[in-house]
Amino acid sequence: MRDPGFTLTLRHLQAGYGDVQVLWDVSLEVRPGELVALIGANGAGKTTTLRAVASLLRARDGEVQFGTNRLDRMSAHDIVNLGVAMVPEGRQLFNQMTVEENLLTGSSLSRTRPLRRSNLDRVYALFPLLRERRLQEASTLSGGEQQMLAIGRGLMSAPRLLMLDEPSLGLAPTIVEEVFGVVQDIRREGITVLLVEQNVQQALRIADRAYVLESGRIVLAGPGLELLQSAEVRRAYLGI
Amino acid sequence: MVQFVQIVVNGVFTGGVYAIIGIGLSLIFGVMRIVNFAHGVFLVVGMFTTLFFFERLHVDPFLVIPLVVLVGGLLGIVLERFLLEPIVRAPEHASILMTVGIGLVLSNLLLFAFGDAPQIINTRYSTSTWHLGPITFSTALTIAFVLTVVVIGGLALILERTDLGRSIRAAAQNADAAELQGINTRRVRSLVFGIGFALAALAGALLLPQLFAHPSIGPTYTLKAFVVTVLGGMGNVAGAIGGGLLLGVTESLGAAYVSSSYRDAFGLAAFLLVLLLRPAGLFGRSRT
Repeated sequence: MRDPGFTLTLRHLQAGYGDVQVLWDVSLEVRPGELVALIGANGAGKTTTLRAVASLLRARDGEVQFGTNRLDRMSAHDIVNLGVAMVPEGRQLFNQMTVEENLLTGSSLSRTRPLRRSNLDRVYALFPLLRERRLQEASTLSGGEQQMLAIGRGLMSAPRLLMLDEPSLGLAPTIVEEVFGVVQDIRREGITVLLVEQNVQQALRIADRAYVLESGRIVLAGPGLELLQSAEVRRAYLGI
Repeated sequence: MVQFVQIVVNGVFTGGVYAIIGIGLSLIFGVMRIVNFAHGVFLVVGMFTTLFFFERLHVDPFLVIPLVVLVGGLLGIVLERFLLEPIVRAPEHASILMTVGIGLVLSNLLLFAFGDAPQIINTRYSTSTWHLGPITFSTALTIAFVLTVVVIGGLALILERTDLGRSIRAAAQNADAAELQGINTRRVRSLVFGIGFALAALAGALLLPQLFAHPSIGPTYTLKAFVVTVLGGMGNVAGAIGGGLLLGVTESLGAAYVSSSYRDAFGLAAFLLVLLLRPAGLFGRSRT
Protein backbone atom coordinates (compact mmCIF):
# COMPACT_ATOMS: atom_id res chain seq x y z
CA MET A 1 0.00 0.00 0.00
CA ARG A 2 2.80 2.46 0.87
CA ASP A 3 4.04 4.44 -2.04
CA PRO A 4 7.52 5.81 -1.34
CA GLY A 5 7.14 8.48 -4.02
CA PHE A 6 4.42 10.60 -2.48
CA THR A 7 5.91 12.80 0.18
CA LEU A 8 4.23 16.10 0.96
CA THR A 9 6.83 18.83 1.30
CA LEU A 10 6.20 22.45 2.25
CA ARG A 11 9.15 24.77 1.72
CA HIS A 12 9.17 28.29 3.16
CA LEU A 13 5.45 28.66 2.61
CA GLN A 14 3.95 32.13 3.00
CA ALA A 15 0.24 32.77 2.78
CA GLY A 16 -2.50 35.04 4.09
CA TYR A 17 -5.79 36.77 3.52
CA GLY A 18 -5.89 40.29 2.07
CA ASP A 19 -3.51 42.52 4.01
CA VAL A 20 -3.01 39.96 6.73
CA GLN A 21 -0.16 37.54 6.33
CA VAL A 22 -0.77 34.40 8.35
CA LEU A 23 2.01 32.03 7.37
CA TRP A 24 5.50 33.51 7.43
CA ASP A 25 7.79 30.59 6.81
CA VAL A 26 6.34 27.13 7.10
CA SER A 27 8.44 24.16 6.10
CA LEU A 28 7.37 20.66 6.90
CA GLU A 29 7.32 17.18 5.49
CA VAL A 30 4.83 14.32 5.61
CA ARG A 31 6.23 11.03 4.37
CA PRO A 32 4.12 8.19 2.98
CA GLY A 33 2.40 6.16 5.67
CA GLU A 34 3.08 8.67 8.40
CA LEU A 35 0.59 10.24 10.76
CA VAL A 36 1.78 13.78 11.31
CA ALA A 37 0.09 16.24 13.65
CA LEU A 38 0.17 19.99 13.27
CA ILE A 39 -0.61 21.69 16.56
CA GLY A 40 -0.71 25.23 17.83
CA ALA A 41 -2.92 27.86 19.38
CA ASN A 42 -5.98 29.37 17.73
CA GLY A 43 -4.93 31.67 14.92
CA ALA A 44 -1.45 30.19 14.63
CA GLY A 45 -2.10 29.28 11.00
CA LYS A 46 -2.94 25.57 11.12
CA THR A 47 -6.07 25.82 8.98
CA THR A 48 -4.36 28.30 6.67
CA THR A 49 -1.57 25.77 6.13
CA LEU A 50 -4.04 23.07 5.11
CA ARG A 51 -5.99 25.50 2.89
CA ALA A 52 -2.79 26.49 1.14
CA VAL A 53 -1.86 22.84 0.53
CA ALA A 54 -5.36 22.17 -0.87
CA SER A 55 -5.09 25.31 -3.04
CA LEU A 56 -8.22 26.84 -1.54
CA LEU A 57 -5.80 29.65 -0.81
CA ARG A 58 -2.96 30.74 -3.09
CA ALA A 59 0.50 30.63 -1.53
CA ARG A 60 2.27 34.00 -1.69
CA ASP A 61 5.68 32.47 -1.71
CA GLY A 62 7.33 29.13 -1.14
CA GLU A 63 6.53 25.71 -2.51
CA VAL A 64 4.10 22.89 -1.86
CA GLN A 65 5.15 19.65 -3.41
CA PHE A 66 3.51 16.23 -3.44
CA GLY A 67 5.72 13.56 -4.97
CA THR A 68 6.96 15.27 -8.11
CA ASN A 69 3.96 17.62 -8.47
CA ARG A 70 3.93 21.27 -7.47
CA LEU A 71 0.55 21.73 -5.77
CA ASP A 72 0.87 25.49 -5.39
CA ARG A 73 0.32 25.87 -9.11
CA MET A 74 -2.70 23.58 -9.35
CA SER A 75 -6.41 24.12 -8.79
CA ALA A 76 -8.07 22.55 -5.77
CA HIS A 77 -9.99 19.89 -7.72
CA ASP A 78 -6.87 18.72 -9.57
CA ILE A 79 -5.09 18.25 -6.26
CA VAL A 80 -7.87 15.89 -5.15
CA ASN A 81 -7.36 13.93 -8.35
CA LEU A 82 -3.68 13.55 -7.42
CA GLY A 83 -4.71 11.87 -4.18
CA VAL A 84 -4.61 14.68 -1.64
CA ALA A 85 -7.97 15.07 0.13
CA MET A 86 -8.99 17.42 2.89
CA VAL A 87 -11.73 17.14 5.49
CA PRO A 88 -12.38 20.80 6.31
CA GLU A 89 -12.99 22.30 9.71
CA GLY A 90 -16.66 22.47 10.62
CA ARG A 91 -17.42 19.52 8.31
CA GLN A 92 -18.78 21.63 5.42
CA LEU A 93 -21.20 18.92 4.34
CA PHE A 94 -23.74 19.36 1.58
CA ASN A 95 -26.53 19.71 4.10
CA GLN A 96 -29.46 19.36 1.75
CA MET A 97 -28.18 16.15 0.21
CA THR A 98 -28.54 12.67 1.57
CA VAL A 99 -25.69 10.88 3.30
CA GLU A 100 -25.03 8.73 0.25
CA GLU A 101 -25.17 11.68 -2.15
CA ASN A 102 -22.58 13.43 0.00
CA LEU A 103 -20.35 10.38 -0.30
CA LEU A 104 -20.88 10.10 -4.05
CA THR A 105 -19.74 13.69 -4.65
CA GLY A 106 -16.34 12.59 -3.39
CA SER A 107 -15.92 10.01 -6.13
CA SER A 108 -16.86 11.69 -9.39
CA LEU A 109 -13.24 11.98 -10.49
CA SER A 110 -11.97 10.07 -13.47
CA ARG A 111 -9.44 8.31 -11.21
CA THR A 112 -11.94 7.15 -8.58
CA ARG A 113 -15.16 6.63 -10.50
CA PRO A 114 -14.40 3.00 -11.34
CA LEU A 115 -13.71 2.33 -7.65
CA ARG A 116 -16.92 4.01 -6.49
CA ARG A 117 -18.75 0.86 -5.38
CA SER A 118 -15.82 -0.59 -3.45
CA ASN A 119 -14.96 2.78 -1.87
CA LEU A 120 -18.55 3.17 -0.77
CA ASP A 121 -18.48 -0.30 0.81
CA ARG A 122 -15.21 0.55 2.51
CA VAL A 123 -16.60 3.75 4.00
CA TYR A 124 -19.76 1.96 5.13
CA ALA A 125 -17.61 -0.75 6.72
CA LEU A 126 -15.69 1.92 8.61
CA PHE A 127 -18.89 3.76 9.61
CA PRO A 128 -21.77 1.24 9.72
CA LEU A 129 -24.06 3.97 11.02
CA LEU A 130 -23.74 5.89 7.76
CA ARG A 131 -25.11 2.89 5.87
CA GLU A 132 -28.18 2.89 8.11
CA ARG A 133 -28.65 6.60 7.51
CA ARG A 134 -27.74 6.61 3.82
CA LEU A 135 -31.03 8.10 2.64
CA GLN A 136 -31.26 10.69 5.39
CA GLU A 137 -30.43 14.34 4.72
CA ALA A 138 -26.98 15.23 6.05
CA SER A 139 -28.38 18.10 8.11
CA THR A 140 -30.39 15.64 10.21
CA LEU A 141 -27.29 13.84 11.53
CA SER A 142 -25.81 14.50 14.97
CA GLY A 143 -22.49 16.34 15.24
CA GLY A 144 -20.48 13.16 15.62
CA GLU A 145 -22.27 11.48 12.71
CA GLN A 146 -21.67 14.56 10.56
CA GLN A 147 -17.96 14.35 11.33
CA MET A 148 -17.94 10.66 10.34
CA LEU A 149 -19.70 11.59 7.10
CA ALA A 150 -17.18 14.35 6.40
CA ILE A 151 -14.31 11.90 6.92
CA GLY A 152 -16.08 9.26 4.84
CA ARG A 153 -16.64 11.75 2.03
CA GLY A 154 -12.93 12.59 2.12
CA LEU A 155 -12.08 8.88 1.81
CA MET A 156 -14.32 8.45 -1.24
CA SER A 157 -11.68 10.01 -3.46
CA ALA A 158 -9.31 7.19 -2.41
CA PRO A 159 -6.65 9.62 -1.17
CA ARG A 160 -2.98 8.84 -0.63
CA LEU A 161 -2.85 11.71 1.85
CA LEU A 162 -5.79 12.78 3.98
CA MET A 163 -5.68 16.14 5.73
CA LEU A 164 -8.03 16.43 8.69
CA ASP A 165 -8.80 19.86 10.10
CA GLU A 166 -9.94 19.79 13.74
CA PRO A 167 -11.97 16.57 13.42
CA SER A 168 -12.76 16.46 17.15
CA LEU A 169 -13.86 20.08 17.49
CA GLY A 170 -17.15 20.53 19.32
CA LEU A 171 -17.80 16.82 19.87
CA ALA A 172 -18.70 15.00 23.07
CA PRO A 173 -15.75 13.27 24.81
CA THR A 174 -16.85 9.73 23.89
CA ILE A 175 -17.22 10.76 20.23
CA VAL A 176 -13.79 12.39 20.36
CA GLU A 177 -12.34 9.00 21.36
CA GLU A 178 -14.14 7.43 18.43
CA VAL A 179 -12.80 10.02 15.99
CA PHE A 180 -9.22 9.44 17.12
CA GLY A 181 -9.81 5.71 16.74
CA VAL A 182 -10.99 6.26 13.19
CA VAL A 183 -7.93 8.39 12.39
CA GLN A 184 -5.74 5.48 13.49
CA ASP A 185 -7.83 3.03 11.42
CA ILE A 186 -7.33 5.20 8.36
CA ARG A 187 -3.62 5.33 8.91
CA ARG A 188 -3.54 1.54 9.36
CA GLU A 189 -5.10 1.22 5.89
CA GLY A 190 -1.95 2.83 4.55
CA ILE A 191 -3.30 6.32 4.05
CA THR A 192 -0.93 9.11 5.06
CA VAL A 193 -2.53 11.51 7.53
CA LEU A 194 -1.85 15.16 8.28
CA LEU A 195 -3.87 16.01 11.36
CA VAL A 196 -4.61 19.49 12.64
CA GLU A 197 -5.89 19.39 16.22
CA GLN A 198 -6.58 21.55 19.22
CA ASN A 199 -6.75 18.43 21.33
CA VAL A 200 -2.96 18.47 21.67
CA GLN A 201 -2.56 15.59 24.08
CA GLN A 202 -4.57 13.09 22.06
CA ALA A 203 -3.03 14.22 18.78
CA LEU A 204 0.54 13.87 20.03
CA ARG A 205 -0.22 10.45 21.48
CA ILE A 206 -1.22 8.96 18.13
CA ALA A 207 1.12 10.97 15.87
CA ASP A 208 4.41 9.61 14.55
CA ARG A 209 5.71 13.12 14.34
CA ALA A 210 4.36 16.56 15.03
CA TYR A 211 5.03 20.19 14.26
CA VAL A 212 4.18 23.09 16.53
CA LEU A 213 3.02 26.23 14.76
CA GLU A 214 3.23 29.60 16.46
CA SER A 215 2.26 32.90 14.76
CA GLY A 216 2.74 31.43 11.33
CA ARG A 217 6.11 29.83 11.99
CA ILE A 218 7.13 26.27 12.89
CA VAL A 219 8.76 26.55 16.30
CA LEU A 220 9.13 22.91 17.29
CA ALA A 221 9.19 19.55 15.56
CA GLY A 222 9.77 15.99 16.62
CA PRO A 223 8.22 12.60 17.37
CA GLY A 224 4.77 12.89 18.94
CA LEU A 225 5.59 11.23 22.23
CA GLU A 226 8.78 13.25 22.57
CA LEU A 227 6.87 16.52 22.16
CA LEU A 228 4.32 15.29 24.66
CA GLN A 229 7.15 15.13 27.22
CA SER A 230 8.74 18.44 26.26
CA ALA A 231 8.54 21.16 28.86
CA GLU A 232 7.63 23.79 26.30
CA VAL A 233 4.65 21.95 24.90
CA ARG A 234 3.44 20.93 28.34
CA ARG A 235 3.55 24.51 29.54
CA ALA A 236 2.11 26.19 26.45
CA TYR A 237 -0.54 23.70 25.35
CA LEU A 238 -1.26 21.24 28.09
CA GLY A 239 -1.19 23.64 31.02
CA ILE A 240 1.02 21.41 33.17
CA MET B 1 -67.40 26.92 -15.03
CA VAL B 2 -66.21 25.89 -18.45
CA GLN B 3 -64.77 29.34 -18.94
CA PHE B 4 -62.96 29.15 -15.60
CA VAL B 5 -61.43 25.76 -16.42
CA GLN B 6 -60.43 27.10 -19.82
CA ILE B 7 -58.67 30.07 -18.24
CA VAL B 8 -56.87 27.93 -15.67
CA VAL B 9 -55.73 25.51 -18.39
CA ASN B 10 -54.30 28.39 -20.42
CA GLY B 11 -52.63 29.73 -17.31
CA VAL B 12 -51.07 26.36 -16.46
CA PHE B 13 -49.74 25.93 -20.00
CA THR B 14 -48.16 29.40 -20.06
CA GLY B 15 -47.00 28.92 -16.48
CA GLY B 16 -45.04 25.83 -17.49
CA VAL B 17 -43.00 27.96 -19.86
CA TYR B 18 -42.53 30.57 -17.12
CA ALA B 19 -41.25 27.77 -14.89
CA ILE B 20 -38.56 26.97 -17.47
CA ILE B 21 -37.40 30.59 -17.40
CA GLY B 22 -37.46 30.66 -13.61
CA ILE B 23 -35.57 27.37 -13.21
CA GLY B 24 -32.69 28.75 -15.29
CA LEU B 25 -32.52 31.94 -13.25
CA SER B 26 -32.76 29.93 -10.05
CA LEU B 27 -29.98 27.51 -11.03
CA ILE B 28 -27.71 30.41 -11.98
CA PHE B 29 -28.42 32.17 -8.70
CA GLY B 30 -27.93 28.97 -6.71
CA VAL B 31 -24.55 28.07 -8.17
CA MET B 32 -23.07 31.44 -9.12
CA ARG B 33 -24.72 33.68 -6.50
CA ILE B 34 -25.48 36.23 -9.20
CA VAL B 35 -28.82 37.66 -10.21
CA ASN B 36 -28.89 37.48 -13.97
CA PHE B 37 -30.43 40.70 -15.25
CA ALA B 38 -29.96 39.54 -18.84
CA HIS B 39 -32.24 36.52 -18.40
CA GLY B 40 -35.22 37.93 -20.30
CA VAL B 41 -32.95 39.01 -23.13
CA PHE B 42 -31.75 35.39 -23.43
CA LEU B 43 -35.38 34.48 -24.05
CA VAL B 44 -35.57 37.11 -26.80
CA VAL B 45 -32.35 35.72 -28.30
CA GLY B 46 -34.18 32.36 -28.39
CA MET B 47 -37.12 33.97 -30.19
CA PHE B 48 -34.97 35.57 -32.88
CA THR B 49 -32.80 32.48 -33.28
CA THR B 50 -36.01 30.56 -33.88
CA LEU B 51 -37.21 33.14 -36.41
CA PHE B 52 -33.85 33.10 -38.12
CA PHE B 53 -33.69 29.32 -38.52
CA PHE B 54 -37.36 28.99 -39.44
CA GLU B 55 -38.09 32.02 -41.63
CA ARG B 56 -34.71 32.58 -43.26
CA LEU B 57 -33.14 29.13 -43.40
CA HIS B 58 -36.45 27.20 -43.57
CA VAL B 59 -35.33 24.57 -41.09
CA ASP B 60 -38.05 22.10 -40.09
CA PRO B 61 -39.83 23.37 -36.93
CA PHE B 62 -39.06 20.17 -35.03
CA LEU B 63 -35.36 20.63 -35.73
CA VAL B 64 -35.41 24.31 -34.87
CA ILE B 65 -35.99 23.75 -31.16
CA PRO B 66 -32.92 21.56 -30.50
CA LEU B 67 -30.86 24.00 -32.57
CA VAL B 68 -32.10 26.96 -30.53
CA VAL B 69 -31.30 25.13 -27.30
CA LEU B 70 -27.82 24.33 -28.59
CA VAL B 71 -27.14 27.91 -29.69
CA GLY B 72 -28.37 29.20 -26.33
CA GLY B 73 -26.24 26.76 -24.39
CA LEU B 74 -23.08 27.61 -26.32
CA LEU B 75 -23.69 31.35 -26.03
CA GLY B 76 -24.20 30.96 -22.29
CA ILE B 77 -20.98 28.99 -21.84
CA VAL B 78 -18.97 31.51 -23.88
CA LEU B 79 -20.46 34.53 -22.06
CA GLU B 80 -19.73 32.95 -18.68
CA ARG B 81 -16.16 32.02 -19.57
CA PHE B 82 -15.14 35.37 -20.96
CA LEU B 83 -17.30 37.90 -19.11
CA LEU B 84 -18.45 36.46 -15.80
CA GLU B 85 -15.61 34.14 -14.76
CA PRO B 86 -13.07 37.01 -14.59
CA ILE B 87 -15.22 38.80 -11.98
CA VAL B 88 -16.18 35.75 -9.96
CA ARG B 89 -14.44 37.05 -6.82
CA ALA B 90 -15.40 40.69 -7.36
CA PRO B 91 -18.03 42.41 -5.18
CA GLU B 92 -21.67 41.74 -5.95
CA HIS B 93 -22.37 44.93 -7.91
CA ALA B 94 -19.81 43.88 -10.53
CA SER B 95 -21.97 40.95 -11.62
CA ILE B 96 -25.10 43.12 -11.62
CA LEU B 97 -23.45 45.66 -13.93
CA MET B 98 -22.05 42.88 -16.08
CA THR B 99 -25.36 41.07 -16.62
CA VAL B 100 -27.23 44.35 -17.21
CA GLY B 101 -24.53 45.20 -19.76
CA ILE B 102 -24.75 41.80 -21.45
CA GLY B 103 -28.52 42.29 -21.76
CA LEU B 104 -28.13 45.77 -23.28
CA VAL B 105 -25.54 44.67 -25.80
CA LEU B 106 -27.48 41.56 -26.81
CA SER B 107 -30.81 43.38 -27.28
CA ASN B 108 -29.14 46.12 -29.32
CA LEU B 109 -27.37 43.52 -31.46
CA LEU B 110 -30.78 41.96 -32.11
CA LEU B 111 -32.18 45.36 -33.01
CA PHE B 112 -29.29 45.89 -35.39
CA ALA B 113 -29.65 42.48 -37.00
CA PHE B 114 -33.45 42.10 -37.16
CA GLY B 115 -34.75 45.66 -37.13
CA ASP B 116 -37.38 47.43 -35.09
CA ALA B 117 -40.54 45.88 -36.57
CA PRO B 118 -42.36 43.37 -34.35
CA GLN B 119 -42.17 39.93 -35.93
CA ILE B 120 -44.36 36.88 -35.74
CA ILE B 121 -43.80 33.30 -36.72
CA ASN B 122 -46.14 31.62 -39.19
CA THR B 123 -46.50 27.93 -38.65
CA ARG B 124 -49.37 25.64 -39.35
CA TYR B 125 -50.01 25.21 -35.65
CA SER B 126 -49.69 28.89 -34.60
CA THR B 127 -53.42 29.42 -34.74
CA SER B 128 -54.74 25.86 -34.79
CA THR B 129 -56.61 24.39 -31.83
CA TRP B 130 -57.93 21.08 -30.55
CA HIS B 131 -60.79 20.28 -28.23
CA LEU B 132 -61.41 18.14 -25.19
CA GLY B 133 -65.10 18.32 -24.41
CA PRO B 134 -65.95 22.00 -24.09
CA ILE B 135 -62.33 23.06 -23.49
CA THR B 136 -60.26 24.43 -26.35
CA PHE B 137 -56.52 23.96 -26.44
CA SER B 138 -54.09 25.95 -28.56
CA THR B 139 -51.92 23.46 -30.44
CA ALA B 140 -48.83 25.66 -30.04
CA LEU B 141 -49.32 25.96 -26.29
CA THR B 142 -50.02 22.23 -26.00
CA ILE B 143 -46.77 21.40 -27.76
CA ALA B 144 -45.03 23.94 -25.54
CA PHE B 145 -46.49 22.35 -22.43
CA VAL B 146 -45.55 18.81 -23.41
CA LEU B 147 -41.99 19.91 -24.17
CA THR B 148 -41.90 21.81 -20.89
CA VAL B 149 -42.84 18.73 -18.93
CA VAL B 150 -40.25 16.63 -20.77
CA VAL B 151 -37.48 19.21 -20.32
CA ILE B 152 -38.21 19.86 -16.64
CA GLY B 153 -38.48 16.12 -15.99
CA GLY B 154 -35.20 15.49 -17.77
CA LEU B 155 -33.49 18.28 -15.89
CA ALA B 156 -34.80 17.00 -12.56
CA LEU B 157 -33.45 13.52 -13.40
CA ILE B 158 -30.05 14.96 -14.27
CA LEU B 159 -29.95 17.01 -11.08
CA GLU B 160 -31.06 14.13 -8.86
CA ARG B 161 -29.40 11.11 -10.39
CA THR B 162 -26.17 11.97 -12.19
CA ASP B 163 -22.68 13.02 -11.18
CA LEU B 164 -23.18 16.24 -13.11
CA GLY B 165 -26.35 16.99 -11.18
CA ARG B 166 -24.76 16.18 -7.83
CA SER B 167 -21.81 18.40 -8.79
CA ILE B 168 -24.18 21.26 -9.58
CA ARG B 169 -26.05 20.86 -6.30
CA ALA B 170 -22.79 20.47 -4.35
CA ALA B 171 -21.34 23.62 -5.93
CA ALA B 172 -24.54 25.49 -5.09
CA GLN B 173 -24.53 24.39 -1.46
CA ASN B 174 -20.82 24.85 -0.71
CA ALA B 175 -18.38 25.73 -3.48
CA ASP B 176 -15.19 25.28 -1.44
CA ALA B 177 -16.32 21.88 -0.17
CA ALA B 178 -17.20 20.91 -3.75
CA GLU B 179 -13.67 21.78 -4.91
CA LEU B 180 -12.35 19.63 -2.06
CA GLN B 181 -14.31 16.68 -3.49
CA GLY B 182 -12.55 17.18 -6.81
CA ILE B 183 -15.43 19.00 -8.48
CA ASN B 184 -14.30 21.58 -11.02
CA THR B 185 -16.60 24.39 -9.88
CA ARG B 186 -15.37 26.68 -12.66
CA ARG B 187 -16.68 24.23 -15.22
CA VAL B 188 -19.90 23.79 -13.24
CA ARG B 189 -20.45 27.57 -13.33
CA SER B 190 -19.99 27.70 -17.12
CA LEU B 191 -22.29 24.75 -17.61
CA VAL B 192 -25.00 26.14 -15.37
CA PHE B 193 -24.95 29.49 -17.14
CA GLY B 194 -25.16 27.59 -20.43
CA ILE B 195 -28.12 25.56 -19.15
CA GLY B 196 -29.83 28.75 -17.94
CA PHE B 197 -29.38 30.47 -21.31
CA ALA B 198 -30.52 27.34 -23.17
CA LEU B 199 -33.68 27.08 -21.03
CA ALA B 200 -34.51 30.77 -21.55
CA ALA B 201 -33.93 30.40 -25.30
CA LEU B 202 -36.20 27.34 -25.33
CA ALA B 203 -38.89 29.31 -23.52
CA GLY B 204 -38.55 32.02 -26.17
CA ALA B 205 -39.03 29.49 -28.96
CA LEU B 206 -42.06 27.98 -27.19
CA LEU B 207 -43.76 31.34 -26.53
CA LEU B 208 -43.06 32.68 -30.02
CA PRO B 209 -46.26 31.40 -31.71
CA GLN B 210 -48.38 33.50 -29.34
CA LEU B 211 -46.37 36.69 -29.22
CA PHE B 212 -44.80 39.42 -31.25
CA ALA B 213 -41.04 39.19 -31.06
CA HIS B 214 -39.30 42.48 -30.51
CA PRO B 215 -35.72 43.10 -29.32
CA SER B 216 -36.94 45.29 -26.45
CA ILE B 217 -39.24 42.86 -24.64
CA GLY B 218 -36.41 41.21 -22.66
CA PRO B 219 -36.83 43.16 -19.39
CA THR B 220 -40.50 42.12 -19.13
CA TYR B 221 -39.38 38.51 -19.07
CA THR B 222 -36.47 39.18 -16.72
CA LEU B 223 -39.10 40.53 -14.35
CA LYS B 224 -41.30 37.47 -14.83
CA ALA B 225 -38.32 35.24 -14.16
CA PHE B 226 -37.63 37.14 -10.91
CA VAL B 227 -41.27 36.77 -9.87
CA VAL B 228 -41.17 33.02 -10.56
CA THR B 229 -37.95 32.45 -8.62
CA VAL B 230 -38.92 34.63 -5.70
CA LEU B 231 -42.34 32.96 -5.48
CA GLY B 232 -40.61 29.59 -5.43
CA GLY B 233 -37.68 30.62 -3.24
CA MET B 234 -34.33 31.70 -4.68
CA GLY B 235 -32.13 28.78 -5.63
CA ASN B 236 -35.00 26.30 -5.30
CA VAL B 237 -35.66 24.46 -8.57
CA ALA B 238 -38.79 22.60 -7.47
CA GLY B 239 -40.18 25.85 -6.12
CA ALA B 240 -39.66 27.52 -9.50
CA ILE B 241 -42.12 25.05 -11.04
CA GLY B 242 -44.77 26.05 -8.50
CA GLY B 243 -43.88 29.72 -8.94
CA GLY B 244 -44.19 29.48 -12.72
CA LEU B 245 -47.58 27.79 -12.59
CA LEU B 246 -48.84 30.28 -10.01
CA LEU B 247 -47.72 33.23 -12.12
CA GLY B 248 -49.26 31.78 -15.27
CA VAL B 249 -52.62 31.11 -13.61
CA THR B 250 -52.68 34.47 -11.79
CA GLU B 251 -52.02 36.37 -15.00
CA SER B 252 -54.55 34.33 -16.89
CA LEU B 253 -57.31 34.77 -14.28
CA GLY B 254 -56.57 38.47 -13.85
CA ALA B 255 -56.56 39.10 -17.56
CA ALA B 256 -59.88 37.27 -18.01
CA TYR B 257 -61.87 38.51 -15.03
CA VAL B 258 -60.42 41.98 -14.41
CA SER B 259 -58.61 43.49 -17.35
CA SER B 260 -56.36 41.99 -20.00
CA SER B 261 -54.33 45.18 -20.32
CA TYR B 262 -53.10 44.66 -16.75
CA ARG B 263 -52.00 41.03 -17.37
CA ASP B 264 -48.40 41.69 -16.29
CA ALA B 265 -49.49 43.65 -13.23
CA PHE B 266 -51.33 40.70 -11.66
CA GLY B 267 -48.13 38.68 -11.50
CA LEU B 268 -46.37 41.57 -9.80
CA ALA B 269 -49.22 42.00 -7.32
CA ALA B 270 -48.99 38.30 -6.41
CA PHE B 271 -45.25 38.76 -6.08
CA LEU B 272 -45.64 41.65 -3.61
CA LEU B 273 -48.18 39.71 -1.59
CA VAL B 274 -45.89 36.71 -1.30
CA LEU B 275 -42.93 38.91 -0.35
CA LEU B 276 -45.00 40.53 2.38
CA LEU B 277 -46.37 37.30 3.80
CA ARG B 278 -43.63 34.75 3.10
CA PRO B 279 -40.31 36.49 2.39
CA ALA B 280 -38.46 33.21 1.80
CA GLY B 281 -40.87 32.34 -1.03
CA LEU B 282 -43.93 30.13 -1.05
CA PHE B 283 -41.87 26.96 -1.14
CA GLY B 284 -38.70 28.44 0.30
CA ARG B 285 -37.03 27.27 3.41
CA SER B 286 -34.68 29.41 5.42
CA ARG B 287 -31.06 28.76 4.58
CA THR B 288 -28.85 27.50 7.33
